[in-house]
Parts: sequence; structure tokens; C-alpha cells
Amino acid sequence: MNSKPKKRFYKYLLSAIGIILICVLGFIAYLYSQGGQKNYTPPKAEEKTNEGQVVSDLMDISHAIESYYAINLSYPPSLKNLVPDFIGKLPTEPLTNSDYIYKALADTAFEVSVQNPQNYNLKELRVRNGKLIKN
Amino acid sequence: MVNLLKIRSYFLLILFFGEMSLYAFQVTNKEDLEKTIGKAIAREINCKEIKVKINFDSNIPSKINNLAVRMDGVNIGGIIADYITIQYNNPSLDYKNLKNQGKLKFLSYSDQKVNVLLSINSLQNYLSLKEKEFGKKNVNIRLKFSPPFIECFYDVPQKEIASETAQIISKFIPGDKLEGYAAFTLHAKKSELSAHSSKVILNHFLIPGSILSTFENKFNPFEKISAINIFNFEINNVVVQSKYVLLTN
Repeated sequence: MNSKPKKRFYKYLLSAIGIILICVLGFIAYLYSQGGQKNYTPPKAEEKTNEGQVVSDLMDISHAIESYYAINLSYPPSLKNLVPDFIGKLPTEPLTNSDYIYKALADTAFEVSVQNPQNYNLKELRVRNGKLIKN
Repeated sequence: MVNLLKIRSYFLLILFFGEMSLYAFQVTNKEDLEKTIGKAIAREINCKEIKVKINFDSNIPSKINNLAVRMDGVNIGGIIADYITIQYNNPSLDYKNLKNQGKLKFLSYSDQKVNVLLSINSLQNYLSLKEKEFGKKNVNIRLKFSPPFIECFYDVPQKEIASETAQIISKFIPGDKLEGYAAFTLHAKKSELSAHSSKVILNHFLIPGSILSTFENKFNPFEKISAINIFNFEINNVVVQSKYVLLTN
């Protein structure tokens, strides 16, 4: 009398084990497919908003200028002097594709800014001596 | 008698101030001061080269606006930094100490900026030293800077890694050597360096993040940057650039 529910239970148990097994094997296959020398590449950077990209670019340029100063004890005459030792490629503004503005203020300060902060609905968007000014 | 004592104390006072202003006059010459500071640093810090640059205030010639010191090849807790540059804004120096004892002492300053540059070679040498220190052999690790990541290509015999780690790894991945790739970012807090991996491939398998986090917690922080005795600073930022890793305060 009890054989039918028992059989049904084993049937469900077997199918559950089968699904789990398939999932585990699938996961292992996925991990294997993502390995190998062809995948020896750094993870892709997350996409940023235009403003986020500008802030990131300004900070990258600012850090590159600081590194240039650390070696030369003076700020670079132009942003072009930062390539390739301190920055791989000079970024441009994502909205207008124009170059960022750089000013070496005396021998002890520098500033990097966008051409027109109003493009980003801001009054000011610049980095001065490594500090972001955004308002 | 009282007048004589008064005259004598005035005379001593004049002599004292005269001597002090002479010190100031002698060392306020830019080049002399830069050399004197360089020598004072060289007495305390072992490095390849020291460069000092001073900018005086254009309105007050004796006031230093900015003082920058660059030291090449300095040991900062196991890692030999290619360059350490420390900038002080509006520093006030203890000239008497500098002149008499040849020691650099900052009485005050408004701002201090520290930049430490580490090249690929410097990090590779650090790894080689660690391998020697722990008696590891046939360990092949190659680094590459890909901002914001440091890429690491490794080939390590399993017997050369810690037995505890090897036991965990062998549960997942069989084989007598560990070969693969890692992309990681560096972080610094209170001068302690930590590495956080964003992608690790080991013996053709991508390692899931949950497994990585257990290892990361064991290894981090992996190094403490030591401040240099004259210059007290704390490293709190790390930026990976195309040829250098920049550590800042």
C-alpha cells in the first residue's frame, strides 16, 4: 500500500539530486571556461556617468602630476610631459572631447579643470593641489 | 656696581641676539640651506641620493614658503621606494639645531604632502627578498601595472606555499603546482598595505569571490610602511599608474 508514495519520494529525490548535480557541474564548467591564458586580462571597468568620468579623469591627471613632481621637484610644463611614465594616455572630456585645462601656479601649486563646468550643471569642477573642488 | 651688572647683562643680551641673527644670516642663503638640510638628512637616512628644494617668500626673504625633499632608494619596511618626496608648506625650522648639531627639526608647518613612488622593479625585488626570507625556491611571479589594477602572473610549486593554504587549495584544485593569473588593487590605511583581488585564475579555473575573501582576510594587511625618523607620516592612499605605484598620505 505504501509503495507508491515511497516510489514517488525516491523519484523526486533523484530528480532533485540530478538538478543539483547539473548545477554544480555547470558552475564548474563556467569556472573552467573563464580560466585559461586567454582570460588573463584585468576586469573591465564599470561604466561611469559623464560627471563621474570627468572626476575620475581629473583625479588621474592630478595623481600623475604629483608623481611627476615627486621625481622632478617641479610641476610639468604641460600635461603632455606626463605621457607615458605617469599616465598611459591623456584623457579628454567625455562630453566635448576637449582637453582638460592645466595650470602650474607658481612652483608650489597646480590646478586641472574642465573647459566649461556648466556642461555638467556645475559652477566649478577642478582639482587644485590634489583636492577636488566641485560645486 | 648695580650699573656695571646692568651693562654686562645688556652686553650679553646683545651678544646672544647678534649670534642668533648671524646663524639666521648664514643659513638663509638658499643653496647653503639646501645643502645643510641635505647633509642633515643624509646623517639620519640611508639612501642613494637626496635633493632639497626651497622656495622663499618673495615679500619676506627669510620666510620659507615651501620646502621639498626628495630621497631616492629608501627602505620603507622591506620595500625599497624609488623616490620619496615630502613637501612642507610654510615650515619653520630649528636653525640652531641645524647649525650646531646638524639635525633637521621642524618646529611647525601648515601642510605636509608625502609622495612615495614604487616601480615594478622595486616590487619585484620586494617579492624576491620575501622568497629568500622564507626559503622559497622556483617561485616565478611577474607583475604588470594596468591601472587601476596590478596584474600578477604566477607559477609556484605547491610545496612552496604554506601547508594550511595548500590544504585548502588541494581540496578544490589538484596538481603539484599553482599556475595562473591575478588582478588586484592595493589599499592603504594607517600605513598598512592590503591587496584585494578582483580576479584570480588558478590552474585554469576562475576562483569564486567567496573563496578569495577567506584568503584575503588571512594575508592582509601584508606590509606596514615605516615612517622615516625625521619625517613622520602615514600612508592612506594608493594609486596604480602606468610605471609607478603612488603612495600618498
